[in-house]
Amino acid sequence: MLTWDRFWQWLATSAIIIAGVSAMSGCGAAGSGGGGGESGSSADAASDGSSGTTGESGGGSAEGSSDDGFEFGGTAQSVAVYRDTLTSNEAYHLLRRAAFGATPEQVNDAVRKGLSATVDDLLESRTEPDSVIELAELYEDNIPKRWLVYLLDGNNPLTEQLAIFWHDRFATSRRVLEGRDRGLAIKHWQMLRTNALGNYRDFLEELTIDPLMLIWLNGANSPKDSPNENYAREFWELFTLGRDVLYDEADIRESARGFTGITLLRESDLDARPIFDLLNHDETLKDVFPQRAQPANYNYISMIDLTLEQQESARYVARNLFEFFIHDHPNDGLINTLANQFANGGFEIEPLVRTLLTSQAMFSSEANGNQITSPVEHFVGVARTLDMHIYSEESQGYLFDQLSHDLAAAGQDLLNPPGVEGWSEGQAWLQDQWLINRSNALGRVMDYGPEHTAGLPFHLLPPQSQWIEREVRRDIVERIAGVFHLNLTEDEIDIYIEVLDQNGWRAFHLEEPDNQPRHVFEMIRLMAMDERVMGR
Amino acid sequence: MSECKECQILTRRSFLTKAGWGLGAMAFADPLLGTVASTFAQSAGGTGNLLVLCQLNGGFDVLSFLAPYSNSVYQSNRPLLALTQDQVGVLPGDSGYGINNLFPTFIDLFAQNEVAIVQQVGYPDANGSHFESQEIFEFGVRNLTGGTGINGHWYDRLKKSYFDEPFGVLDTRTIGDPENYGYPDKSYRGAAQDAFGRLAELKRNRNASQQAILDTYAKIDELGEEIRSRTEGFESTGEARGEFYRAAKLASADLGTQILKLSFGGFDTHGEQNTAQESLFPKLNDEFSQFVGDLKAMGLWSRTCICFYSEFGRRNIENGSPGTDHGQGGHMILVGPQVNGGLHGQRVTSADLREDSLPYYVDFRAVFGSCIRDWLGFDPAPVFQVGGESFNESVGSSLFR
Repeated sequence: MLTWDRFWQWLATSAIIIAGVSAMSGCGAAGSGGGGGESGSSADAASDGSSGTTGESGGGSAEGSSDDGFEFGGTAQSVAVYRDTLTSNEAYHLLRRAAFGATPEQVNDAVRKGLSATVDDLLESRTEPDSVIELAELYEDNIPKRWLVYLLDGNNPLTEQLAIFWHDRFATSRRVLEGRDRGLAIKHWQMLRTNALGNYRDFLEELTIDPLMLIWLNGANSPKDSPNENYAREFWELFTLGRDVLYDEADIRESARGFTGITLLRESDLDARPIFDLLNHDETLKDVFPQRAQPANYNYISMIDLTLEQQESARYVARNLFEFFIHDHPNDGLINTLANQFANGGFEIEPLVRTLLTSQAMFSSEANGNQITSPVEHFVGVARTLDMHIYSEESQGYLFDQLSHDLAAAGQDLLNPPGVEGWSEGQAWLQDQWLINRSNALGRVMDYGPEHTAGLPFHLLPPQSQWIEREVRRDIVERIAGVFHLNLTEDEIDIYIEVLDQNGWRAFHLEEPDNQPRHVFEMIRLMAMDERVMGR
Repeated sequence: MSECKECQILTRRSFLTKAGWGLGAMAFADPLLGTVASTFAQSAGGTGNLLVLCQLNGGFDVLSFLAPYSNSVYQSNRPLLALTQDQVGVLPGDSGYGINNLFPTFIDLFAQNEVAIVQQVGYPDANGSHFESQEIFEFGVRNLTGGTGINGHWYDRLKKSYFDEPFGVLDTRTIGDPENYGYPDKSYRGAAQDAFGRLAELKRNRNASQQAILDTYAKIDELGEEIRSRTEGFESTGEARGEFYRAAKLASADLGTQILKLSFGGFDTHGEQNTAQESLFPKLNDEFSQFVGDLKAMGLWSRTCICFYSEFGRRNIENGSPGTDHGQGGHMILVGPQVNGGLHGQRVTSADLREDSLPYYVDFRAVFGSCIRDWLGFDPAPVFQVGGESFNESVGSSLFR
């Protein structure tokens, strides 16, 4: 094969022999949560853990975290609380699903604190730095860019993660907005983020009269004498019950009459705002779910109430959130347990999320490495894990432009999903062209712009003064693999070293210093496409 | 799913090995490329014709395409949306039907007997969900959850049965811009691209979702060079750069492709339908027109048939927005020099228009089945006779000459 031809050619021409493989092998990279100074922290973890920094949670078992090991010993079909002491792999797993990614320090921190306190941290609402708010505001109604600022550098990654989750379920697109309505995109985006961990009933009410949603699903233009069924149908099919659950076509027609009466008021140059116009509301009885309820004069609020009274709706949310955070095959008993908790607690989202994040199922082997991230989750995860930020005055305009373009080309243009169903998740992300464009996006993590200025994660790499030593190649590969918690085989390490060596064109450590960052850039970008980094 | 991708790749690989040269040689082996194309085509069997599937996403309002403009029920159902005689190209012989003037290319091709419209197509027990109905059309089964266990596209089953080659079915949504297909290496010596392919190959013991990622990588690595090199010389006859452009570009590569799939969106016209159609229909018409021009310029038109279809038609009666909600029966439209031009299926009657939605009289699988049998030259039975499903396999007339 060609590649081996090149390999032998490289061996012959450069007369370099790859350092003997053997001994160091796996352990260097084996989930050791990061590069230098790692071993010391496990002792810290053990002592801190037992002293219990917050509350009473600390009762983890005696041995617990100290060995950094793999574990994932939870029961796949249980939402009982998992043990509080986390291994570094478990901590990284939790932080990837709830906060996109985690630096080695953040992983260590979670190991030290334990599960309960870490989830507390994730759920706590924190103020955002002025720098983030100001940068984001520069982008006005360009939501992909504006959101990316918070996704990359905001203090509430779990809120952002959930806002994306809801956005995908309650999909709307800015593409229906005319120029005068551009402010409605911002309003919708803020609505998603403020409700992401709030109350589901309130959320649905705000959603139903959200101006962008009213335009997108024609809710604002549904006269009582000939109602538009678009919102009524998707409200059940996509937002609250699921496809063909409980309702039929007759129910949709009745419900559409209930949802009439909402109108958008446009006053001079103010943003359009929703009003309930009784004259335009169908005030007659509607026979919705005739098996279960008497005909009534429903309006949009009582339609939401009626829907939430059906057990199926709580199950729908429970199943969606479970599958989003954990795995795709929860059994009915487990979903019923979660649904009951959710409904009995008044449809508060936060406690449900807490239950999921601290559950046995979350830390079962079936929930490990079973998911495929979306392009945005993947990109943001890599950026957060490598602790890379896009700050510089001159580059940020260009970079955010390119980045939002790349992510759209990778299949996920925020606030512009392909249709009312949002994005198709899981293996549906594996469209060839989307994967190709993910790789372009990942390059932006490292600010490797047109000026060829490499903004590599130098803090994770050996000092550049060592880049003239032959061993540094392996060191670079293993350190970055460690940050991603990748346990590379010798063959994989060799291939990454070849990337640093540019396929034998020039051995990395003999290369001009000016050229070296580019090779490191290519190596990291390729590793970020590893199926365990794209997966989670 | 991952397994079958793997077989494709293995098939492809063993083919290349037999042919006696590796992927790396391709770029330098131009004279051989023609040989490869014909080898693909021969191994494919059948007629070697090309079937282009164009899915009109969102629910195509067929009454705004082929309007029964003289029907009073149609006019009274749609006071704001019904088309009048001066808005349509009246069909030859004045049948009371006309094609919307926003589709001039279709009007022209219809006059040349190159458009076959199969009216009132659907499936039993219509479902009003976009996604359910799209899956029914794409999977080729009515009972998705009824234990058929079918959850793949019917054209992938067809490929697997008859022409299991890497390029047998190409979807423009999957390939994207053919020129950029491949790992986007920026390194000096193709080192990262090389590593990308090798890593995907050597990894073992991955779980299902990880393996699916690796399979896609291997496919990109495997097909990239060929797709890029064989499409780079393509020049379109027009300016549009949408899905039809990409489809024409892929057709130009002469890779033995039997089915080209593309999707054209925006048809879910619940509100302001006239305004929406005024931009949407000309866009579809013009991009399609360019595609026809491109295929003619390449000499491929004679062996091409395009099949337009949508998950459902729309409601007969307009809503107050004004637009139309999700309906049931719709038309499928076949275009090509070998189709039996004209109207097929059941004419839309006043009785049909008095229903909420158009009923269906022809099963969509009968239409796809005819394309498979009469155009591609394969027996459609293994594709649609699955999971105990049965349907009327007859369209009632011949769709091809």
